[in-house]
Amino acid sequence: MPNSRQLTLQSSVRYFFAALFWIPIVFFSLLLVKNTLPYFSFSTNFIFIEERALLFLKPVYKASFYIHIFAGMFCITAALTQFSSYILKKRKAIHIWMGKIYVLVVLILGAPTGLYMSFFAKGSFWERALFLFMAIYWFYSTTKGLQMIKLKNVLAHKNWMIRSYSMAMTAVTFRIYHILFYYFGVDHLHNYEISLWISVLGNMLIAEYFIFRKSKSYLKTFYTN
Amino acid sequence: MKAIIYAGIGLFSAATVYGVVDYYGTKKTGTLDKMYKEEETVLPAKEETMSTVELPVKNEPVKATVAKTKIVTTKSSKTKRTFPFKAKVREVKFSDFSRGRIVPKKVAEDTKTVEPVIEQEDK
Repeated sequence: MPNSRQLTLQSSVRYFFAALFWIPIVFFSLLLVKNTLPYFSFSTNFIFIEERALLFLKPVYKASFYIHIFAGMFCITAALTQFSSYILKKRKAIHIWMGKIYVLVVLILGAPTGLYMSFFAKGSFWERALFLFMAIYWFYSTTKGLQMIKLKNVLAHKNWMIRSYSMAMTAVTFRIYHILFYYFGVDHLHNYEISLWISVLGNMLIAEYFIFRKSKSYLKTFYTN
Repeated sequence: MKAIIYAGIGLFSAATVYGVVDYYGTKKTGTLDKMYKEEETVLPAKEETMSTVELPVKNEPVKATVAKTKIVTTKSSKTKRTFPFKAKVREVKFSDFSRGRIVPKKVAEDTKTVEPVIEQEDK
């Protein structure tokens, strides 16, 4: 039976590793939001827009892009509050309302526009297929998360929302890998492709690891109703 | 809840159909092929000039009666780069935290010319 000192040490170590995980996520998420705000000046003086100048001549693509980045900003910010056990215990209304905003933004704005833009993504056929898969998986996992909480199945809701958040976070992790590979001198196109694959597959693996660690029967997390 | 899900599914399906149609339409015009291609910059080859200089050899007072000339070839390395920029050590700013290409800062490099060195034989 561990004594109180050992229990305190265990909980301190847990808090330390949780802080080590969440502080960079919060920092990079807010940095992403900060870097997205200038796009709403609707100027074309951005490298991302200049590369796709021909696509931005299409009104549908242009509208999808701005809706997608607007939705992405809301998703990233809303999701930051959702994993806090303090907010869940003390201010459950914040969790519920932020959750509703997240679900609405993903299902109506983020995923459909992401799907449309995936057909014109940079890279080969496989990168476009990956973006397409991301949009579908993001939509499906968010829908399942909403369905589970309506059925009062909190554990299943947690698992599916972890999967949904991992897809939203690919926007952040992609940028981190992009900068790392840039430092290593990888040329831009290869950097883009490698960073994309690592961010998507890496995030999925990390999400499944967290779910595996918490669940008694891992395979049941995919079809629990 | 059902309304949100059905609206999402409807938008998703519309985005898929429109995306496929638009993709094939854009592919026919060839826009997608040219869009993301990176232009390769070709650096010109280094110019090296070889010059030969004929030097008279000093006569030995006892034996030699005919002046000998010895050809000494010198190599003048004239490195003149017409592409004036060289990529600096990579710096990253917070604004580079995006999906767009990270453009490295470029610094102008001075062109260097080296004078040819003429070797002379000592006695």
